[in-house]
Amino acid sequence: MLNKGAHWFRTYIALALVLVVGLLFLYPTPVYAMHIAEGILPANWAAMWYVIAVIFLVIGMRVIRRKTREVRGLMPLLGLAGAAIFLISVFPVPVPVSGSCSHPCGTPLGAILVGPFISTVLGALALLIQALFLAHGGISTWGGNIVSMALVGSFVGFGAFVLLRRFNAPIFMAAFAAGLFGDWATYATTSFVLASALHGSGSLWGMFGAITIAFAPTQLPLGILEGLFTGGVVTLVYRRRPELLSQIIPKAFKPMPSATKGGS
Amino acid sequence: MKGSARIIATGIVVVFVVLAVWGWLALSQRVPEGAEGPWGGVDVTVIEQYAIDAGREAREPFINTDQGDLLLFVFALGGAMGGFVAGYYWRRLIAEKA
Repeated sequence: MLNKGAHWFRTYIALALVLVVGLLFLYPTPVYAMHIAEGILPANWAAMWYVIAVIFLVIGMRVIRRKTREVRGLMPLLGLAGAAIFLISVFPVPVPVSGSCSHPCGTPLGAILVGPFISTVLGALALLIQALFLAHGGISTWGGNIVSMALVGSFVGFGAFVLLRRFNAPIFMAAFAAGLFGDWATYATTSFVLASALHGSGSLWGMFGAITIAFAPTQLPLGILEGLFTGGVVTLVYRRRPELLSQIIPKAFKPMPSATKGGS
Repeated sequence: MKGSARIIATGIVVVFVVLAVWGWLALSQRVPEGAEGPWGGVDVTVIEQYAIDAGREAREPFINTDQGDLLLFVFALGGAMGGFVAGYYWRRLIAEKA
């Protein structure tokens, strides 16, 4: 039954992809899009971020190969995490008071579900689809966007989660911190990627500070939102299928009285 | 000991949240308004604006879907497909095995 469902799913997804790609190639005008858009980074900086991104992608793909052999049932979790990262990172959220819009990252959640290296690969794939078909980001800036959203978002989120769990914080609080700090770190890194390439003869840190402050009124509340979402999803998955998560980060998901009694 | 570590860790996160709310409200008046008016994305109001100031402009993407309702279409399609995939695996992982 499940195999039949999977076959149906693959057939129709493939058909839909062919149709979309075919339609998209019929069209071509200037666009101003999210993440760091095509052409903003000079070639040398774009290449440097590509090199850093590729190192982590290669490690991530090796981790995927190893983990899929070791952990049974990892593929559906990869599918869920990948789809979640893609959806969350193209979801523009209007921020009241500030009157602006931005998107969360999804990679901190992905890192808790499947680990930071795999989450980096999934984030990179999401960014590639967005750059190719959704006019979000760019191919030349793919490396910079991978480093800020996929890499830093995953590792900072994962680090915050593991650290707080070491201090026996409840699952929800640790996952909340992961979403919060992962989101902020992503936008801080985007500020650094931009400032390092564009500061010219001016001060690097002066420009970095200016861009970070410009992001702050939108991204500070969005970080809280991403934290709440990440905390909610991780708590829900942990309560329903704790063994699923403990396969990836065994130490961080050891049973705690607060979690097992439903007090997390 | 474990209890106090937990309280301190939670307290630090709460302090960050309080500071974030304060920063959000305090800095809200300084949000740069882009050419597209209020509710503009930070991609345009922040990233593109700083890039333009530095003498670099965004280039046309390789596949430009930002034409008419085409972008709306690909966003809706991407959202539907992504939602379907997430729901399908959520059901397989959580609903069927819980």
